[in-house]
Amino acid sequence: MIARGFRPVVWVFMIGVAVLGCYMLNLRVAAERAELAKLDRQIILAQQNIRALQTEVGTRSRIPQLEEWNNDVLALAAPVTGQYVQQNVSLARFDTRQPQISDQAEVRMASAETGAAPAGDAPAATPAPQRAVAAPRPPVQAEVRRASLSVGPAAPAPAKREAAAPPRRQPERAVRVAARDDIRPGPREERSRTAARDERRPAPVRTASRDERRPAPVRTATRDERRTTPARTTGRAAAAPARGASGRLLASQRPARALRKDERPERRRSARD
Amino acid sequence: MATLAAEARRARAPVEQPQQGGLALTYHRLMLVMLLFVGVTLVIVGRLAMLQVFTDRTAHAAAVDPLLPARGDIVDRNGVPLARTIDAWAIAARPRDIIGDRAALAQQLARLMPERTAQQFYALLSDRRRTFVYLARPAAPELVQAVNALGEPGLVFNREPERLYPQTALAGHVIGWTAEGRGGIAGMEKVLQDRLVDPAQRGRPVALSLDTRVQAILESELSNGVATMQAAGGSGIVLDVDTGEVVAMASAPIINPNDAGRAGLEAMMNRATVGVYELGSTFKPITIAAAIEAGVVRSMNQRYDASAPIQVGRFRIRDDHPMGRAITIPELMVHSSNIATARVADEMGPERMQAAFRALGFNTMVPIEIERGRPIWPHDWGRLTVMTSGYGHGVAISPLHLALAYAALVNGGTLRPATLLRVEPGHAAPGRRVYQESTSYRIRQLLRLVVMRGTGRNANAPGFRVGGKTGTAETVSRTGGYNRHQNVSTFAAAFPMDAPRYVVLVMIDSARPTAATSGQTTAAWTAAPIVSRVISRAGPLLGIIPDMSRDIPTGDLMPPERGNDENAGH
Repeated sequence: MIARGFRPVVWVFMIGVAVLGCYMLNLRVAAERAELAKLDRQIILAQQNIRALQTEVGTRSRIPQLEEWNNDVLALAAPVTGQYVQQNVSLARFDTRQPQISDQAEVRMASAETGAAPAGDAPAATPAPQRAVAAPRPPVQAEVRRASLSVGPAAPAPAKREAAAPPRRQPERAVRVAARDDIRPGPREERSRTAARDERRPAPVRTASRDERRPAPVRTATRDERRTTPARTTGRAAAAPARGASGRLLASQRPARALRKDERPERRRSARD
Repeated sequence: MATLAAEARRARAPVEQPQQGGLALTYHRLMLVMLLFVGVTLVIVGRLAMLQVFTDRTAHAAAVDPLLPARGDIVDRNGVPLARTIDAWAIAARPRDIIGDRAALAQQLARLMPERTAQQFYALLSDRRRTFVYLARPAAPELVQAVNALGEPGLVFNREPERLYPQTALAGHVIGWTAEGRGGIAGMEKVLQDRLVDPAQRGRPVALSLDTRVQAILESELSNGVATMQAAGGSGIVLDVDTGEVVAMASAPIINPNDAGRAGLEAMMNRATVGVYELGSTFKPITIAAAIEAGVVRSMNQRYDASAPIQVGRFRIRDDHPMGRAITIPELMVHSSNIATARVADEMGPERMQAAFRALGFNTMVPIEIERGRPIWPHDWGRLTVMTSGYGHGVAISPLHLALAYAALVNGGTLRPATLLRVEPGHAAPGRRVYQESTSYRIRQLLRLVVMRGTGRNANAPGFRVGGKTGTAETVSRTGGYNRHQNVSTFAAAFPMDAPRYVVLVMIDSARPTAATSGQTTAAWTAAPIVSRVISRAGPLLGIIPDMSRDIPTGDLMPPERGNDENAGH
């Protein structure tokens, strides 16, 4: 009897629960929809942002601007005909055109050994090879030339200035290293010099591997200008193929400090090698 | 009792009947109200259902798609943006809503925006008839920030679509520019106006045939040349010989489409298509090709007398470097002999010469999308006109006309219309054959000889097998005659000559003799070096790697020179 009397109440309660459940569900769906719409809006906003940023980057790195920078600062030139090497044979000929210079490089390796005794000492580089001082200077250029030549798969980095850089090096990196050394010579450079000494030894191995290198026509660039301005050569050779790269570097205007930070771990690694 | 009963019956009837009638009436009314409610609810529900079912949301959504640009992008053949629409800031004022001191505000605005004086700003701000007035449009974000910092609620900041050309002045004449409320008014912006604003298509960018890198090289070399030679202007074209695509087109002085309104009329003119010039000796290969086709020149060893100037009426045709003897066809080209060419043209006669030029479209406007000029076609084709037209005097055409003709000369003899829209591989216009394959081969040999041994030596780019022809014409002075000291110097080249891919044409208008050009204003010293530099810089980008081991054989035309030939070839 009592249950019968409560039946309408139970009905009302159940219907109430059902209605409430439906309403909750509805609310939940609506909330989910709103979330979705919000996400959509965010995506659109992000895409608009991407487009705006792309436009800005494109405008800042516009070609006339890059060319202006190049004329003012970098003075890169397009590679000339002789620098496009099409066959392995011509590449080999291209490299060993002056055998004397590579001979001198060998001499310089010997002098580096004498310098190895007071290892890690900054002045060690100057006093040790008294007899070799006159000779090594031109070889520095010669080796810079090699470094610029061999941006292929296996690239040697025997040059004094960039010896600390890793053997496998991207062209952009070459620019950065050169830039760094120009900016702040100091204790770090000395460290790089000691590293250079270690680096020099495996040079013959690398010479052997040079034959396997693929001819990378554009990258073998600017052999001719090299002699006149050795300090800039690496940057020139590396950035000639990809003006965009140097432009990006400029556009980003990363401070020298940041670049160096990038270099550091690689340097250590190469020094250990 | 009876009376009571009667009364009661009497009394009941009138009382009860109105009660029953009132109840029914109430029921009726209630029912009516209920029906009204139900009806209204039904109408509302029905309307809602109809709205739900029949509203087309897709069109609404498309119309406000926030990613759809107000105007479509223009990109180059590699997808580099050349024209985009961005949201730029605009600063405006509602003069009625300004609550601060107008004079002080005008002072501050004038300090931030020096384009207008404080008085002008004050006049704008106190004009109560206007509800809305623009102060700066477009405005840089820094300016918006600075103006916002003034804290005046009567100033409003809106975002409005603005056309931006990210590469600034690069290819300004080709891309064209827009005007507020009128859409594109020049160049490809005008040509593509409908396509760029069509909601169905503007989401996808339009690809032009230009290559930004090559365009930049051409523009920088041309601008440098025009600046060092203090020339009145210049133009340059790089054209794909097999498709008719214009890979680069430049005109100096340049124009920046971001600020086209400020440029002068001189800068607005695209000299490559609108300007028409007598292009001089660059016509000689056309004349020789026509003569070979017509059977007038049957052998390369055929000799024409160039020993003395030709007198036709009052006019005398002479050579800059007199040969003083009869010369063969290769010698005619290499030494650019007007006399011998005039004799060839004379032998051709007016009919055949006109037909040769008509076949190349020199009597009509050049086939390209953007603005172009009408060539000057002589009315009277007398003997003198025929003879001078053989070496490019008397017929004035646009540089693009000549580039197209050279493309036909070297590509095997097919003339195709030029286009500024990217052509998908295999979809090039079929074109029209104007020369035989063999004629085209001969002309290629001759053009290569000119660069190796003749007037075009300065255009050589080692390894790129450049062939081409110089052309130096005297400009027409205001009085009607020719001005000997003002030249239109043209160099039309193609490379690589063993399998031509691109035509490169450079024209310098009224160069002054300077030390940089060895005191010369002829094409060999003005236009040819520019062509050489453009080819050696742009060639590798266009996929042509210099190769010293390949070349088109020319030994059968001219015996190799002793000594000098080594230098010329390299």
